Amino acid sequence: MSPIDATAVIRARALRKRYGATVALDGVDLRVPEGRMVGLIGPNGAGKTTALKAILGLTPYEGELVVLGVDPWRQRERLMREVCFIADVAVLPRWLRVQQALDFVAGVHPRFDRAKAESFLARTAIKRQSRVGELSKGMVTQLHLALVMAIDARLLVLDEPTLGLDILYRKQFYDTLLNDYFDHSRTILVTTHQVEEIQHVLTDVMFMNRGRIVLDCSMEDLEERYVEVLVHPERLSAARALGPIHESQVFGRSALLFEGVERDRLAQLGELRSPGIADLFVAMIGGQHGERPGEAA
Amino acid sequence: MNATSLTAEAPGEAVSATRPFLWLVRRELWEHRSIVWAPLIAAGVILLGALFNALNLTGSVRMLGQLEVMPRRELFAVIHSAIAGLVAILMFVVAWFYALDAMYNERRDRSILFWKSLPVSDTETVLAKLFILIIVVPAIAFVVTLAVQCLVAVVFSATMLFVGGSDASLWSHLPPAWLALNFLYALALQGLWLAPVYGWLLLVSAWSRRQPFLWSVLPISALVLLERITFGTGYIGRGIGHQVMSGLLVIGSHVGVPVIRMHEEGVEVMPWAMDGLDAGTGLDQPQLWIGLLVALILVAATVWIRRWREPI
Repeated sequence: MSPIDATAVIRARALRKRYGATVALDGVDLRVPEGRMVGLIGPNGAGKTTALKAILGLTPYEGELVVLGVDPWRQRERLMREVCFIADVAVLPRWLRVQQALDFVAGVHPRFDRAKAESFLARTAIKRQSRVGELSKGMVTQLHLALVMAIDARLLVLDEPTLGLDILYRKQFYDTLLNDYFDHSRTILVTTHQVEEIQHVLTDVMFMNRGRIVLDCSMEDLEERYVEVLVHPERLSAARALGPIHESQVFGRSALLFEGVERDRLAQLGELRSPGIADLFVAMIGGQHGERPGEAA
Repeated sequence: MNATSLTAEAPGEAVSATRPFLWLVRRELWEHRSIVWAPLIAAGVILLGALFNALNLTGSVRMLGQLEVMPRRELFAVIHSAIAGLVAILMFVVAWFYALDAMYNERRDRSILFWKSLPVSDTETVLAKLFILIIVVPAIAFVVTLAVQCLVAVVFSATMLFVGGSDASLWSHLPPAWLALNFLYALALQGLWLAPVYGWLLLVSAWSRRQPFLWSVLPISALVLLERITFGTGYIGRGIGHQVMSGLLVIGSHVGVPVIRMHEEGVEVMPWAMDGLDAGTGLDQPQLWIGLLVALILVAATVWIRRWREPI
């Protein structure tokens, strides 16, 4: 193991997974270092959920995968002492009472801090005697988050954790996560379709398409590498000559997206902007995705 | 030390080995409340029936009061063992439905993703469910049966007193105390006989994507039918039938069903006799041990299947 790899929380090499004739993961290589908050973005069917399932030991795979130093499929229960996940909204069973949820997790999880969970819950309107089935969808998510945040885990995996919640709950969810949980010894891996809402909290972003990682980059690098230019109409041909990776129309003007071109040169062509993750996503995957461009954004 | 490997378990944070298992068992009882409620409701119904009879049938009991001690004991022995039999059969039905639900519900309501996010192995999870079937259900059956038998005995005695039996014979119809231990032994034996049945039901529950009840019955029926058609024999059906019937009859042979023996000099009635009722359901039966082996294989298969399971 190289010294660089020693700091990786997740390490995958040539990760493959197929369901019958469908290839879900087609040779994924990835490395997630400690203390990062990584967004895994991709269209439906890109293989995100399969990748997360492999990381969490919920599905077997071909290739090499090491999470916190262990093989997830062989040692799931051991891994789960230091890995938490919210795999979907509403996976808490409807019959479970809030009190029972606290009792149970405290009973089986060695790293669960009950007082911490209680204090998170105290900020919500959730009653101890309520059953999960009686809570609103937003409250169920709050409850699940309170349970997960009270576990002293090294890696937290979130798969569409805020799907179907209104914007207030969604914002609160990520604010809580960022203010009360995330620090440099923890790593968060999140997939979501609401890219714009989380791009300011991410430290890294990965794009996935057709079972492969097509972009893996820190947010700082992203801003340096990619520039969008609202090109003056008369300089359009000069701009096109520089080889933009994508071209679109914004307010009747051409917006050209460049990768790795010097800012000074681009500044002469028009107005510079930092592209959002959603813009980049459409640029890089929209075209290849074929009939349904931009669906994921 | 590698910074990104799992941290070694600190002595303080270690959860003892048994505590998580007990929480898994409690969790089952939270979800499947019928395991507790069904026998309690049955107990209530039996007690109501006993009270109703006591009030209504004082006439016929008055006649019993005049009878010798023996027939009165015999009558009570029938009631006493019927209670045990009723509760045991009810608990078998409860266990059946519990087992089919145990690993099917968690996939249908997607909560399997929550359970699997906790540091609990599939083996522990499946064993906790088996523990409910083999230990908890019989224990509840035992407590409820004993409680109902005691209360019915009080009602019976009170009725006797009311119709004017002698003080000396007031409690003479009661079974000896060791009968309760015998019943406990029978319940334990029942758990062993039914273990392969429960193993099969858990397997179906973990495996089937819909209609677990049909899957629990149809493949077996098909197998029996196939054997009948191709070989013209009925070994499978008889084997399974014998297994289940032994599991149920073992109760009957340990709860004090009165034994009636015809002698040349007359009829001998033995209310609490345990001998002569050996239905071939004891630990000496080879099929019991074969069944346990089958149960072991089925449970191992269930653990293996659960590892692969996802929401449906």
